[in-house]
Amino acid sequence: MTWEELIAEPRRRDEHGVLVVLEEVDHDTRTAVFRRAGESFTVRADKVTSPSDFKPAPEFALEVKVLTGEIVDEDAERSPAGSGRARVVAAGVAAAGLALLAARRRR
Amino acid sequence: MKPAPFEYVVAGSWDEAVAALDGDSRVLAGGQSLVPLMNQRLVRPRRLVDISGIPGLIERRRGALRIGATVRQAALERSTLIAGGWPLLRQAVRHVGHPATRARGTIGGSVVHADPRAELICALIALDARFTLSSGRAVHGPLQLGPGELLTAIEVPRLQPFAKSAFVAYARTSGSFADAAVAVVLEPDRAADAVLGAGRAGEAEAAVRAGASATDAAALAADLVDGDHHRALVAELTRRALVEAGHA
Amino acid sequence: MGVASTLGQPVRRREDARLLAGRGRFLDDIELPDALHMAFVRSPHPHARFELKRPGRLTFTAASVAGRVAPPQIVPPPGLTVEPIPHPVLADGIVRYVGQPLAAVVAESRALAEDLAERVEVEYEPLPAVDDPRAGETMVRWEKSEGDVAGAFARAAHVVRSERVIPRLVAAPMETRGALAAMEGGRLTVWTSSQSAHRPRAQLAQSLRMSEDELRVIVPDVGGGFGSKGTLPVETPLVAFAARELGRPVRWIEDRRENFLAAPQGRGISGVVELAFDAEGRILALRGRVLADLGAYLLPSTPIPPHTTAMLLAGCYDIPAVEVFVTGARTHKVPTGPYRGAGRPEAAYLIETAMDTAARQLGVDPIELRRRNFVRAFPHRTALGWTYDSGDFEACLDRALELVGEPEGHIGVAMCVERSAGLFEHASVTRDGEVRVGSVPAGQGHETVFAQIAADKLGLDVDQITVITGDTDEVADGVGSFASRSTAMGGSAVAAAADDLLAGGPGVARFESEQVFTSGAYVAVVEVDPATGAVRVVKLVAVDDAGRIINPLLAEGQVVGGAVQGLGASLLEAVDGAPATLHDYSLPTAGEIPAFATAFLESPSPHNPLGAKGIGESGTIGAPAAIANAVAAAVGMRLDPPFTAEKVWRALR
Repeated sequence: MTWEELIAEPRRRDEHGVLVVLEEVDHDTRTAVFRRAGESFTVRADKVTSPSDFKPAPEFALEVKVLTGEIVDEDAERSPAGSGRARVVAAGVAAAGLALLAARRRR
Repeated sequence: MKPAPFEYVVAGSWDEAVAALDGDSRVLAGGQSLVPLMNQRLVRPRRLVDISGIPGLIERRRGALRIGATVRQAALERSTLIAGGWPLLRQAVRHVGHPATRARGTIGGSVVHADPRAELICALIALDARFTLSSGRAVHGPLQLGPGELLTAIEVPRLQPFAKSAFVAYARTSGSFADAAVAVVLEPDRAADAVLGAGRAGEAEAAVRAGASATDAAALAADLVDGDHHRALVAELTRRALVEAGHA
Repeated sequence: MGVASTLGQPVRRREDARLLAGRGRFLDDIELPDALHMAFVRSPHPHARFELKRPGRLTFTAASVAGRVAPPQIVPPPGLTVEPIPHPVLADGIVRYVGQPLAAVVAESRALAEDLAERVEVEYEPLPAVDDPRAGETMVRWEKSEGDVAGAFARAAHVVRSERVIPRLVAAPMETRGALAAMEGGRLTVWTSSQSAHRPRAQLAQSLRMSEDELRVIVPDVGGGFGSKGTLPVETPLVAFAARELGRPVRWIEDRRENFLAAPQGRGISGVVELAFDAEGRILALRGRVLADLGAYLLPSTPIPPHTTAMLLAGCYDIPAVEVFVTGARTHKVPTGPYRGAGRPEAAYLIETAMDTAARQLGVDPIELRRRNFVRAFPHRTALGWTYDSGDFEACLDRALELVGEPEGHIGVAMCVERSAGLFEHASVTRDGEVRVGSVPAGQGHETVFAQIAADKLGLDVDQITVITGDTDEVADGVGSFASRSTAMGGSAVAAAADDLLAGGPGVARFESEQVFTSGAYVAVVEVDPATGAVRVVKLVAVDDAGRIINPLLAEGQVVGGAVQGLGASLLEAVDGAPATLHDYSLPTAGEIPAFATAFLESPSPHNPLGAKGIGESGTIGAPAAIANAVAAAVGMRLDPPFTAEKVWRALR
């Protein structure tokens, strides 16, 4: 897939049926940002393949930090919209009535 | 709080949207202002033309920024392109509502709804933004849409190297409409100072270029607004914004 | 046996697994597929004569329900003189506040019901409206005099006068009010978002002229009440009536606009406190005048907060002589009613700001002036007539001062004393750990606290206990959750029921007790920006003595939540003039929450086996008075809440 083909289609679904939306295009540096399942992915023209190939490259690997608590949203993992790599956990802050999203992006 | 009955038309493109508009229609983008007004039955369009499915992109080409009207405020907030080249927009959008409303609200919706307390308009004015309309017209400054006209994109010129900006607001609570806000952009040969709801403060900008102190320039910006406390707020926020942007 | 007691332990909230995951079941989650939706035609005028033009067949009006749906009865506290001005179910010819319901319609959806409601033609003839309670007719009157007040003021070395105003506030629970009613097997079932199940049943029976046996009231999960769901909405009997008349379920879920217009509001009082001091700074006597803006009608609980304000006006001070007058005035506004604190924050604000004013006038440190006047022996019968059961006010103050340290910014101190509990509560307990209680949760954590108490008695694990509340068919009797009473009353009833079971009885108890008195010391640290007038509360210190604490985690949650609500009342909130909406009425957000330091002292109450007292309202009582005193210290003059940037900026000029 060429750079032009890639940015010509602002919305598509990947093979899992998940919506992939083109959000940002920098024509000057030939860089595009896609959004999929609540996460952003940057693609550079010299490395273009296809947005459906998005694998969690090392820079986007998720650090799943499970605090003391229980899984409160197991369904999200199974649903097509879920990324399958993040888990929503209720953290040990029930006193404050808060649930934390414990998935964090590694820099 | 349910809206009065209305027709609902989904537009897949700007042409479809323009074709669907008539005198008694309203355009639905993110719906964060329009829907509450409709739910209170203060606004009762016969037809709603939903443009939220028309793709909107944040693009840079030859240094200039172009933001599609349907770009969500949340996309603006997380954009690295904007954070790097036009940080004022990111600073301003963080004052617009709450994360949940920014996930739906669009930049075009903010501009067209034209609430005098709209932080994004204040920031765009400071950046000398230009509004591109479906008719092909492009507008600088306050936006007045003609019949059947839609805002399709916003263009923002590139900033000079070493430009600095600041957006400072005072609101009663985090996320509520600001009582006052100021956007400042300082470039080597340009100073922009926009006051929420009042536009550019030309005299303050001239004073900054002439080397006046932040306090003195801020006093000139405050003259744009009415009410003594409002003036005090604008003066203090302008002073802080100028200092934050590197002007003593 | 052999399971360790969790009393006094920070057991995590058992209900959170359900509530935080979105699996709570609130009123609007109850599906009855063929339910009709009710919407109300509400007055746009504060005062007007009106005529309904051609009401349709399915339009309920005052005329069409006359003699069949009665307004709720007023139940005044003893000693109060009350005019018979109940809230009509539907207005009959005259509306007296913006939002007052004058007709109701039903339709297949809420949207269609709203379409119908706006098509009801009403001709209004606006009449002059009373906005200022000083100009309103008197609906409620109360006075109390004890000791030689005139003599004390005549011989006083110093007389201090303090006049203060607290605006009306909106309770704004996350879940609005509402009701769903359906005929089931010849009986009427009413689901309602309420702080009680048995009181609504009694009120509905009275209103609809039915026997209580013909009614079942179910309270599902409740998303906050704060007092505003302690009074049956006038709309509810009409929902029930319509379901019975039409033979179909009828649903009314109050929307946010209606909640701001028509739910009872809180506070709305002004007061004058005069204190006579001797040369050593001891209070010889107190004179108090309380004027309450009660709104257009008396809901059953409307007279309670001004009475509580008056009865607590002596605060935590030993004052031998008092003379207090209360006037409740009629205005063209939505009625007031209990709102978290319900008279206690008003009393604390009046006496604690007066103490700071006195300290300034006498040239004494405000903390020292308080120490000179504390009640020190318990039980203590105040000159106003209530008996403080236990406490140690000075220890609370010392602990609070320790916790605040040497802060940057201006500090304000306030003490508080609050009545809690009283009346009775009913509970039953079975051997396999089923607990039924008349207390009804609105998010406080009843399922955890009652389970702890039952588990402790039965030697079971907390997780083996099931707590059942909010259903008049499941729970034989009950009062509900008001006035910070659930742990002391409901909890004691559970303990008594378990004792009964262990002694070989059926495991049922009705626990009665007089009210108990929680106390505390609050310190606020504030910063004021002189350029803008913006006030920031940097830190709040809360030291509460609520007797024995069953669960410190829940107790602290109550203190912090209440204090944040009090922070909103101090800095942001007021209904002044036109009715508010969420567009112009600011509620505090997470961004405004200051640093907190909390602690508990435990002076057990002698009135219940747990030694417990209420903690649900303490934060709303202590925090506003402490913040007001801190702002006065920062600004150099007295202001009334809310301390908006503009108000403070003007004061500083």
